[in-house]
Amino acid sequence: MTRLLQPEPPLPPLARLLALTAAALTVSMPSAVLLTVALGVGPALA
Amino acid sequence: MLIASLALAALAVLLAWPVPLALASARWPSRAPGIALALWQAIALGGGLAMIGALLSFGLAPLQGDLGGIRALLASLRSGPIPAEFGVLNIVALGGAVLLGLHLLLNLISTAVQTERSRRRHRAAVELLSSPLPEQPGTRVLDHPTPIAYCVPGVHTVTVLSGGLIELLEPAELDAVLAHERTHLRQFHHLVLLAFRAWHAALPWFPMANRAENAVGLLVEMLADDDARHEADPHTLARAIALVGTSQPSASGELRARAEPAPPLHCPRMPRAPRSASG
Repeated sequence: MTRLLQPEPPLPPLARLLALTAAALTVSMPSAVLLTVALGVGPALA
Repeated sequence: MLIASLALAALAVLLAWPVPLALASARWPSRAPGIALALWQAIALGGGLAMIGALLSFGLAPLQGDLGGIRALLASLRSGPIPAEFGVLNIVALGGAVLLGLHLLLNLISTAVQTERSRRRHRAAVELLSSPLPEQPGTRVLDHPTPIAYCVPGVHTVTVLSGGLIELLEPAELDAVLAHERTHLRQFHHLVLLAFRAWHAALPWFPMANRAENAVGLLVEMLADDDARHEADPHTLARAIALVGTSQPSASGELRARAEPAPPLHCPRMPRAPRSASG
C-alpha cells in the first residue's frame, strides 16, 4: 500500500535493458542446446 | 557436448539457488514488477531447460558432436546392444533427461486440467449463488458479509464481489477494486501463476519453487495496482485495500472452510476468497 501512496522512481532504462537481456540469455542458452539435440533426434526418429 | 553439459549444469545450479535467492531478496522489483516477472519466468524456464539440457548433452557426449549417431543409439535401444562408447552414466543421464522432461510437462498439464476443472465448478457455483452487478458486465455479487473481491478466469471470465464489500466501499473505491481485478484478467496473470504453481507441484522439495510462486504472486498484484492506478486515484485504491484488509467478519472462516483445495490466485491484500478462484 505504501507503494501506491509513495511511488518509487522507475528503474533506469539501462538497468531494464540489462535485466531483459539477462532473461533472454537465461532462456536462449539452454534452448539452443536442446534445439541442437532435437534437430539431431528429429531425423533419427523419422 | 561435454563442455556444453558442464556449462548447462553450472547454469542450472546458478538458476536453482543463488540467482532466485538474489532476485527474491532484491528491493528493485517493486520499481519494475514487469521486468522482475520476466526474470522469474526466465529463471524457471531456463532452469528447467538447463537441467534437462545438461543431462541430455552429458548422455550424448560419447557422440562427440556427431548427432547422426543418435539414430544408431535409438535403434540399439529397441534391438540392442547399446553402442560400446555409451557408459552406464550416459544412459542414466539420458533416462533422467527424458524422465525430468516428462515429469515437468505432465505436471504442467495436470495442474492446468485440475485448475480449469476447479474454476469451472467454482464458476457454476457463483452463477447459482450470485446476482449480476448492474452496469458492470461480467461482474457478480455474492450475498455474503465478508468483503471479498476476486476474479475467475477462463473463456467466460467473472469478477466476483461480495455484498459486504459493496456495503463497505464507496463507489469510487469499488471502481478501483474492479479496475485491479480486471487488470488480472486482461494481463492473463492466471496463466503466469499457473506455470509457477505447476513448477512448485513438480518440485515440491525445491525451496526456490515455493519462493518463486510467492514472489510472482506479489508481482502480479503490483502490476494490477499499477494498471488500476491509471483508472483510479491511488489514494482511493489504497484506501479500498486498507478497508478490505481490516474488515473481516468471522463469517470469512465459514466461507473459506467450504472452499475447494484448488490454487489461490487472488490479491494477498484482499481477504482470501474461495481458493478455486483468482483475483
